[in-house]
Order: sequence, then structure tokens, then C-alpha cells
Amino acid sequence: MSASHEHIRRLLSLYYGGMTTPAHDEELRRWFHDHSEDALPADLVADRRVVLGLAERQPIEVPVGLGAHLSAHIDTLARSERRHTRLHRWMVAVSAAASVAIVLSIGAFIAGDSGAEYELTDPTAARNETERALLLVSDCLNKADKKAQETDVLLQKLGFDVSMFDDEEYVDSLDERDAAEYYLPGAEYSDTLGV
Amino acid sequence: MKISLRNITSLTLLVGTVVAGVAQNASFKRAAKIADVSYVYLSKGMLSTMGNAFPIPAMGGVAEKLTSLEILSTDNADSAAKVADTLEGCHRGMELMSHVSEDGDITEIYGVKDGAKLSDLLVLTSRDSGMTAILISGDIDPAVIKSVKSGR
Repeated sequence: MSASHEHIRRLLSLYYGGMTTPAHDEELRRWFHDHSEDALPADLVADRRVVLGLAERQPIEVPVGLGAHLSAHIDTLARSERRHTRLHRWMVAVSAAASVAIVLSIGAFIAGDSGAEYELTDPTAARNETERALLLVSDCLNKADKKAQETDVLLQKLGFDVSMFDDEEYVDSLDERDAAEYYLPGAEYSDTLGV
Repeated sequence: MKISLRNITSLTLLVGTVVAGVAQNASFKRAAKIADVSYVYLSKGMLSTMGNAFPIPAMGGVAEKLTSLEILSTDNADSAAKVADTLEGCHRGMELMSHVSEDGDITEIYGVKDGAKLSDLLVLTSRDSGMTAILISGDIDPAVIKSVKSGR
């Protein structure tokens, strides 16, 4: 009896591991069928219920054509994946082509409207124009400074506290190093324009 | 570099920024086509070579730090009015720093601040007989430009 129990326990071990043959399954089913729960050790009672319970279930029949149906479904998924990949590549390619077209258009626009036709290439004329422009800009900046100072004086006469308009963010923009490089000795500078 | 929609979007934004920058001086070139209007464009390459060519020492230092200089001028009152219309939106995005009206002359100064300096400076002067517009870009220090006049 004990040897038989040990044999059944080994078969059960294989059974739960899914390693039994149909003959082993049938042997287990018959053995548990022939032995009532009262005649079994306590540790085999639950195994008996499992083995007999599973043996009583009808085998699941595979529907006819399931394999073909699964193959067709897998093929459909594969085609869909390939189609999606192709679509994504096309989108990237079309987007890249559109961007290149935009860049080329902008480049052509800039090249065609870069001022090249108006650009001075004669150094003397360029120097004269630059001098004229910078003197005019300088004159305008100084005029603006002068007006700002006159306005400050007027506001002070009227009793306004002009310091409230001071902007600490735009204090004199030149540090000593820049001043040594640019300022002319003896010249007076003002910076009431706000920069 | 992997081509992705993100990279394409970034590139498109970059191009948009360039277009916005170009649009500003495009109005100068449109105005240049008006009759009796003279327009001069000086590139960074030309400006950087002037160095010591100026009689005023500080002027070379100013010029070599500029990336472009554009001068638009006319002595014709009708043309000046048309130029004013054409330049109507050219100072969009720039700050009005000064407006001076004196003896019939009107001077407006616009700038784009870059820290303590300016990256763009637009000066518009108009009078009964005409007008002048100057647009300079680059590393602009107004204090130094003011000294150009003072040191002469």
C-alpha cells in the first residue's frame, strides 16, 4: 500500500508538472476512482479531487478551421503593420521634402532680396555713406539726450521727482574697459536716452 | 541625424524666425523702388574692413561691430510721404526710444535692446522737403555712437 502511494505521489508530481503521458493520466484516474477518500492518506484526498474533477471534464474540441483562421488573422496583422510603417515613412519623407522646399524658397527669397543689388562695393563711397549715417544717428541721439535733459529740468521746475523715472536696468552701458577703447579724451558724454 | 517630425518642426520654426528677421528690412527695399529715393546697403563684410578709414577714430570701432547698415533717403516731399507709408510697419517689435519734434523736423528713434546695448537701431528723420531712414544692426552701443559726434 505504501509503495503504491509512493508510486502515485511520483506520478502526481509529474502530473502537476504537465509531464505525464495519457497512460499515466489514465492510471491516476483509475487509481483514485478505485480508492475512496476514506481509504486515502490525508495528503492525497485533495489530489484525488483534482484528478477526478479534471478527468470528468469533457475535452475541449478545437473548432474546424481554427488554424487557418489564426493564420489569416496573423497575416492581416502583418499586412497592417507593413502598411503603417510604409505610411509613416511616406509622412516623414513628404514632411522632409516640404521642409526642404520651404528652406529653398526662403533661401531664394533672401538671396533675391538680400540687398545685394544695392550693396556698395566701392570702399570710399561705403566709408562716406557710413560716416554720414553714423554722424546723423549720433546727432539724433544727442538731440534726444538734450531734449530729455530739458524735459527733466522742466519737470523739476514743476516739482516732479524725476528720479522716479530712473531705470536701473539701463544704466550707462560702457564699463571702464570699453570706455578706454572708445571714449575720446576730454569729450563729454550723457546717457539720458535710457540705454 | 535621424529625420523625425520633431526635427522637421524645429527646422520650420528656425526658418520662420529667419523670415521674421528678413521681413524688417524688406520694407526698406520696397521703399527703395520709389522714385527719387536713394538706398544704400552696407554688409558686415564691407563694414568690418573700414577699420581705420575714418577721420573720426571712434567711428571705425562702431562700424566694425555692425552686421548691416541701411540708409534710405529722399529730398522729394511726395516720395518722402510714400516712403513713410512703406516703412509704416518696419519698426514693429522695436521700442520707441525717442520722439523729438523741433522746427518742423521730426526725429523718431526705435531700438531693440540687447542687455545694456542694442541689437537694432532705427532712426527716422523727416522734414518738409524729405526724409532719411537709417537702420543699423549688430552690437550697438548708443553711448559710443553719441561720442562720434562729440569727438569731432
